[in-house]
Amino acid sequence: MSISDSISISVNGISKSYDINHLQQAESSARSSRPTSRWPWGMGRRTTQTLTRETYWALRDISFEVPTGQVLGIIGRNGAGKSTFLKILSQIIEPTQGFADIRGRVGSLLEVGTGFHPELTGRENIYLNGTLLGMRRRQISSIFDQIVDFAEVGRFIDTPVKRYSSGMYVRLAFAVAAHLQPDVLIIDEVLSVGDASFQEKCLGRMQSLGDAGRTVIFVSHNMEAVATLCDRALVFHQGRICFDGTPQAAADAYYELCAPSPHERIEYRERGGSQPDIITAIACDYKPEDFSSNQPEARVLITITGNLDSLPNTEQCNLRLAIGVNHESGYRLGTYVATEDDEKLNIHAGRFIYTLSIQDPPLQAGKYWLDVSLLKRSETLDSLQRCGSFRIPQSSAKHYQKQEPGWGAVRLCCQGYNENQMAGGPD
Amino acid sequence: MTITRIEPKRRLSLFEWKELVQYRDLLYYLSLREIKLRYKQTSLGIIWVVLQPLVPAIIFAVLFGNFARMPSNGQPYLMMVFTGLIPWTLFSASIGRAGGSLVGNSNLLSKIYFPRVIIPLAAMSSVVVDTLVSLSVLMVLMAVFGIALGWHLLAAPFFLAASLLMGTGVTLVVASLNVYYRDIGYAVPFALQLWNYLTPVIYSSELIPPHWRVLYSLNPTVGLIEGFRWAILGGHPITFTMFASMLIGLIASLAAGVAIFQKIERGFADII
Repeated sequence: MSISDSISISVNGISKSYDINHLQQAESSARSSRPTSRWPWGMGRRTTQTLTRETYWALRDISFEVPTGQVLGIIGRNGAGKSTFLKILSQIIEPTQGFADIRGRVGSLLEVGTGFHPELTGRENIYLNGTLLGMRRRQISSIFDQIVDFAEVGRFIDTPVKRYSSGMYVRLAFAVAAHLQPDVLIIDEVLSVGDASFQEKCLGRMQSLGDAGRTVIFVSHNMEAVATLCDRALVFHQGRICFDGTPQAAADAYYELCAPSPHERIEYRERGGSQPDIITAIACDYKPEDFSSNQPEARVLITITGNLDSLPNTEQCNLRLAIGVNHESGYRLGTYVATEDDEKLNIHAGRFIYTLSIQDPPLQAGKYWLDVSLLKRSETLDSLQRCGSFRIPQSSAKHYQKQEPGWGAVRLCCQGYNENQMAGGPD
Repeated sequence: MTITRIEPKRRLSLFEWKELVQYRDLLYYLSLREIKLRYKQTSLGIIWVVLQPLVPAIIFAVLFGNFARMPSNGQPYLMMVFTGLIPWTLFSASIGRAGGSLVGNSNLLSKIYFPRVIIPLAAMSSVVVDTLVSLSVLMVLMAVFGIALGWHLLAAPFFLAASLLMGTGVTLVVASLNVYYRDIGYAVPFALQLWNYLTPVIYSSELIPPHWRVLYSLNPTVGLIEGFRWAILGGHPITFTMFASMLIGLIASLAAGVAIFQKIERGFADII
């Protein structure tokens, strides 16, 4: 069966499953389990009794078609299967069931700068990265100047990229992929890097790809980018497509998913304020550093969901969201206030989902509690005490990140000098 | 426009040579990266490539040739060891350097599609370059020791190619199984060392008592070493058993390498 000329991508019942083993005493966090190693031919099965086997479906029966020239957005919560699906379309992993047909050359950009090596020069990295993305040497030579122009690296092109600023690095990496000129371009959440003007440039580039009749599939958490860029959007939820339509309607469907179900309620010790029903969910989670992705620092992610429908004229009311981190014993360790002015808050009428990331939290291992308040000028709208918690695990990676009664909660980052040696010098 | 079909892989499918040809520029640039990075920021640079085979060869020549007076087929002991080290290093260093290459490049495997076999092949490229340098050292040594040139020199490229291909076969097996079992990473250096003892690299196969020699010759790498040594130094040509077991070993390792790699490469990104 071949696909008709006007269709660029045709996906038919794609599913992907992983066999996961979990130890019985281990927590049943099936999501985070990795597929375990096994003999490729199914021989030598493990017989350890503590292992139970379960099939986890990361994708279930995905089917849709994309007409040529369409810019399609895919949105969904973490773990919804978006990245797995892009990896299947990019031929990195293979589906368990189903098939897909793609017309023309596929370029996929799942990460900015894959294959870049810090020791190599900008020029060498352009050629290496270009050939990785499937270009021939001659093709790269012909667009080499355009890439350098777009990336604004100019005279540093023969400098090892380890000496580049992180902005230059990201610009160069995106520039190679942006000039790939494939018939189908697959992009995964790569615009979250770089400064605002560069992000705009990237969006413009993607827009022009779409205008030039190239098909683009774009995964993002940035609803605004999806709304401005895409003609259509899919919402993934638990491995299935749960919505297919205009980006605006898709964003609504996505917020619907993120909203807590009626029987779910937030836990807190005390709640106060003039409208103590605005905040509907608070989630927080500690993410350890992950060098294989773009997150070399550990962080605590706090996601606050709420509904401002009952509040009139939110535009002018100067909202502030305050977050306090408390030690288990109750004393306050630190506070952060996100305001309307720093543009990061940016919550207006209707539902909002606001995520705050505490980068590399300087905390010892242990459990920490949150206080969250939503303020309007000097008025407290909704204030929750002890409404969420996260745990920093013991780790060997950071010095002395352990829990000892007398050690306190703050992890001091110190450097020591030996004064004698400083004075005398190494000679 | 071509249409790409993405589907679960069928049980049997052929090695995709076409795709490898299509991505040959990538092989070139990855190899270049490998070679450049190897000696970047070293002050001695290429001298390391010269020293690595030469210094052990001199030590073995003094220990075994001068002190232990082990047989060397009537040739200078240094030449005998050096002609053994070249094909052996080509074979074993390929496995050593490329065996962990898939695991080492997991970020590439899980983010970009390209023919996976390029990774181990590119990792082997630096070994080929090292071998070319060693060959020029060999030429100097041949002139110094006044080794007579003969028609058997024509066989040298054949034995080098055989070492490279046998190395490729074993590398593909090791690199792909290493994705599933990291034990391989520990086992390989150990196994290569044992294999070295059973191969006439630093000694001559003359040392082996005659009634053990046929059994000894069943080791496929014996033919590689003795064949190359004969091609350079002359003397007795290798026995039929050595040659036959070398050829069988070569074909078997290549076939096993391609088959195993082909069989499990689609799962790499899921497992790695």
